[in-house]
This record gives sequence, structure tokens and C-alpha cells, in this order.
Amino acid sequence: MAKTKHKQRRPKTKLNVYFACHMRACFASLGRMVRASFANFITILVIAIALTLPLTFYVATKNVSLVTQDWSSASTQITIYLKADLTRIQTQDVLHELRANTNIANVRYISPTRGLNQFAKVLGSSEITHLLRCNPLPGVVILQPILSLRNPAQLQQLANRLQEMSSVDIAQLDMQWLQRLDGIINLANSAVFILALLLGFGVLLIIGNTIRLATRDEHREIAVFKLVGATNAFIRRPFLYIGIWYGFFSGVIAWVLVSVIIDWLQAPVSSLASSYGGRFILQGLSFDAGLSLVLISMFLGLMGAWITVNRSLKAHY
Amino acid sequence: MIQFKNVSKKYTNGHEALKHVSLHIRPGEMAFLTGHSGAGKSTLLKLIIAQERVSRGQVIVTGKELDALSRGQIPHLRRSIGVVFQDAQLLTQQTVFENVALPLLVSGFNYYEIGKSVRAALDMVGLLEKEKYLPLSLSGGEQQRVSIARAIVNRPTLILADEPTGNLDPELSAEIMRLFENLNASGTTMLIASHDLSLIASMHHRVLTLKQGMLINNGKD
Ligand SMILES: Nc1ncnc2c1ncn2[C@@H]1O[C@H](COP(=O)(O)OP(=O)(O)OP(=O)(O)O)[C@@H](O)[C@H]1O
Ligand SMILES: [Mg+2]
Repeated sequence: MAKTKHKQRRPKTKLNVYFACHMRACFASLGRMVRASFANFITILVIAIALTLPLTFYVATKNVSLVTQDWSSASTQITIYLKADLTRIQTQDVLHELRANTNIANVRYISPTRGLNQFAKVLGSSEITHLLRCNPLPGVVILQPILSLRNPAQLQQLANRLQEMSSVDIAQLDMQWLQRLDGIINLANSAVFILALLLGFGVLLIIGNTIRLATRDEHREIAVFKLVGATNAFIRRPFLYIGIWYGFFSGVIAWVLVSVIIDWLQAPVSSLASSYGGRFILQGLSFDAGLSLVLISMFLGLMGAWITVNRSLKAHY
Repeated sequence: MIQFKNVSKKYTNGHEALKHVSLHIRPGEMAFLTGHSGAGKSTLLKLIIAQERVSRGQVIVTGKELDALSRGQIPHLRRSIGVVFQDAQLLTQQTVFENVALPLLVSGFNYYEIGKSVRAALDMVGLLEKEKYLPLSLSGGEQQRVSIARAIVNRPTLILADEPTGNLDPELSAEIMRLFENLNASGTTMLIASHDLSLIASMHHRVLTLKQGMLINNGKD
């Protein structure tokens, strides 16, 4: 008799029970967090700041690589030193050939005379032109490759081809400093990766530790749950949700923090850029990146909670 | 229902709490377990719900050999056994109602479905009007009765009670015992640890006696 009464009360499907258990654990843990609001707020803030550090670094390198892309398109050039004994006609021929080359966007010629004048101007004395019996400078051509030709290998190939022209003495690609910068940026990127890894681990520990403190108070309660036949999954569930909530709120706050920092930096960056005659708008976190941040942070919260609650579950039989 | 085969229990500190205990309690039986303080009564009950594991011998409960159960099976075993603990073992942050509801919650019922059962159990121990209280605002006897209500709420086939009347006055004790007898009459197997010998003597049920970890009286033959 009693048994059949029980059967009727049992919810229709196992899935229903499962879902109901999850909903209850999810909102009960939220309620528990709200009740202990101050301590939790501090914890959430700590996690958020831990997340903000690598994030800011990430945004910064993203912006730096944007800047250098601009630079590399503006300043990649090939300098050609013509042979010294070229006649005026031969020089014109070379320039004509270069201007006809479809890989070259812009050709600027500096004649030996102009070169010498510039040299004299740098030295601050026109005496030198008189002292030298003949002009020792070769003709110089400065080329800008077309924009589609921006990768180092292609540029080097173009320079090699120019080098083979009969009237060219030396063709030189001015790219080394850019390669160095590229290297530095790559280094910074791996540093960000390592830093993010470390800080992510830190977040894991912070959340884990918080949950550990929470479960220390509940140690006795966990024992009671076990004695009335709760499965580990049942006991674990509210703690896991606490971890997820921590992750969620911290992720959102970190997102807001980074956005605020970028907003705040925009003004000084703009004035710096304009002093160089440029314009630069800082790129913030994209919506996708922000969303991934929140998801990752929730996942870290879940992991932290999982590890700690499992440890305290093992303590009871 | 419960079978001990030559069971010994040695705690990790080396103390041997039970020595070569063999006993058999049949389904539907009601039995008392007595003995001096420290005789091993609580230890024996803890073995039955797998809260402790035997050092030697076998414990068989509802046909299952406990040592052979995996960790995952133990919760299911415990759900079929109602336990009244010597120290009430209540959740201090939760109300009387929530405490009594616990065995139903852990087996997947939700709050809407269980109100009736919980109130029925509270009514049986005379605490219906205190369902919203927190355990710490109750007297020791009241806390113990909450623990009793929790043990009977899901109508288990086996109830273990460790000093269930330890904090109760004679009148309430007699009432709780009558409750246990009623449950037993409806088919529940009962094993009750107690050293209230006069109460036990007044009830004419089987009595098992432990002395320094040994079963000196099986209550049979
Ligand atoms: N967790 C433990 N670790 C070590 N020794 C223990 C443990 N629990 C109990 N004991 C010892 O085992 C013996 C039996 O304890 P038990 O709690 O079973 O006695 P009891 O008969 O229930 O006594 P009481 O009537 O006082 O409740 C005692 O001497 C006790 O000191
Ligand atoms: Mg005891």
C-alpha cells in the first residue's frame, strides 16, 4: 500500500528527475552565494582581476600587431644602387624598365648630383662638392613594391631579380628591422600564452580554494548527506554550480574591466598617434572573444570546484 | 535481513570494537541491542550501513554482501535503511522540514511531491508544528525526534536506531517505542540499540547483548 503511493509520486521519467535536480542545485547554489554576498563579491573580484591581467596583455599585443601591419605596408622598400658608369640614356632605360614592372608601385630616383647635394647638406658645408673632383656617388632608386607583395619571401625574390639586371650594382631589401619587430611580437605572443596559462591555473586555484573553504564548513553536512544515501553526484552538484556561478560573474566583470581600461587608454593613445601625424583607434575585445572569456572562466570554475569537492567526498565513506 | 558471520572490527587505532560476532535478524523482526557503554553497539550498526567496513567476516544486508558492494552501490543500500543516529546528525542550516525531507530528496523527489510524507512523519513524532524551525533551536529530545522522523519518512524496510530515546523522558520514550512497534507491525524490521534496560524489559522483544565487543547473548534459544 505504502509502496504504490510512492510510485505515484515519483516523477514520470528519469530525465525529468535529473533535470529537476540540476535546476534545484543550480538555483540553490546561486541563493547560497547571494546570502553570503560580501565574501563572495570579494572572491569574484579576485578571480576577475586574475582574468583581467592576461586579457589586457592579449588586447595590447593585438593592437601592437595592428600598428606594425600599418608600418610594414608603409615602409617596406627596396633600394637599388646603379652602377657608377651609366650614361644618362642607360639610366633612363633602367627607370623606364622599373616603372613598367607590375610588382613595383612607386619608383623614386635620386641622381648622383642630388645625392651629393643632400650629402653636403647633411655635412652642413657646400665645400665638399668643390673638394671632390668628380661625384663618387652612384644613382639610387628607391622602390616600393605593390601591396599584395608583402611577405618576406616574395620581397626577397623581387630584390634578387632586380639584382640580376645588368645596370644594377646592389639591390637591397630594407626589411631587417621589420623582421626583428615581427620576432619581438611573436615572442610577446608566446609570453601572453604562457602568462594566460599561469594565470588560468591561478584562477583554478583561487576558485578551488574558495570551494574548499566552503566545503570545510559543510564537511559534517556532506557526511549527513552520505548517511541518508545521497550519491556523490548529488552532493557534488551544488558545489559545481557554485564554481560555475563564480566563473560566470568573474568572467563578466573581467570583460567589463578590460573594456573600461581600453576606453580609458583611448584618449592618450590618440594624442600620441596624432603627435606622429597618425590616427589610431584601440581595438577592444570582440563580442566573440568576450563570450569565450566568460565560457572559459565558467569552465575553470567548474574544474576548480570539481577537484576540491571530490577531495572532500573521498574523506567520507 | 541482517546476517553477521564471524565479524570482527578493528579500528585503525588498533582498538578491537567487535570480536567474532555472528547473528541473524529475520525480515519483520524487532530486536534490541544492549551492552555497556563502549561495548560496540554503535559500531555494529555502522557496519550495517557500510559507514565502517569489517576487518574480518561477512555482513549481509537484504541479501547483499556489503564488502562486495562498490562505492556506487552504497547510496542505494542506505536509501532502503532508515537510521536514527545517536547524535541526531541533522543539517544545522536547514529547517526541520528540509531535514526530514532529505532521504526523499536524495532519491529524486522534489519538494512539491514530498510535503505529505514529511508532515506525516513529523506528526508521528509529535513535531508537526515545528517544521519551520532550525535544529539548533530545538531541545535535544526534539532533535532526536526529527532524526526519527527522517529515518521513517521514506518507509524503509529496515530501521536501525542508536539510542533513539537517550534524550527523552519516560513518557515520550514509551510513545516512540509504541511508534516503532506499529512500524514493525506493518512489516518493518527493527534493530534498536539501547541501554534503557527497564524499557526493553517491558517490551518482550528479542534482546541481543554485547560485552566488550563480544555477543554474549543472542536473544535466541
Ligand atoms: N572511529 C573510531 N576509531 C577508533 N575507535 C573507535 C571508533 N569508534 C568507536 N571506537 C571504539 O570502539 C569501542 C566501541 O564503540 P561504540 O561506539 O560502538 O560503543 P557503544 O556500544 O555504541 O557505546 P555507547 O553506549 O557509549 O554509545 C569504544 O571503545 C570506542 O572507543
Ligand atoms: Mg553508541
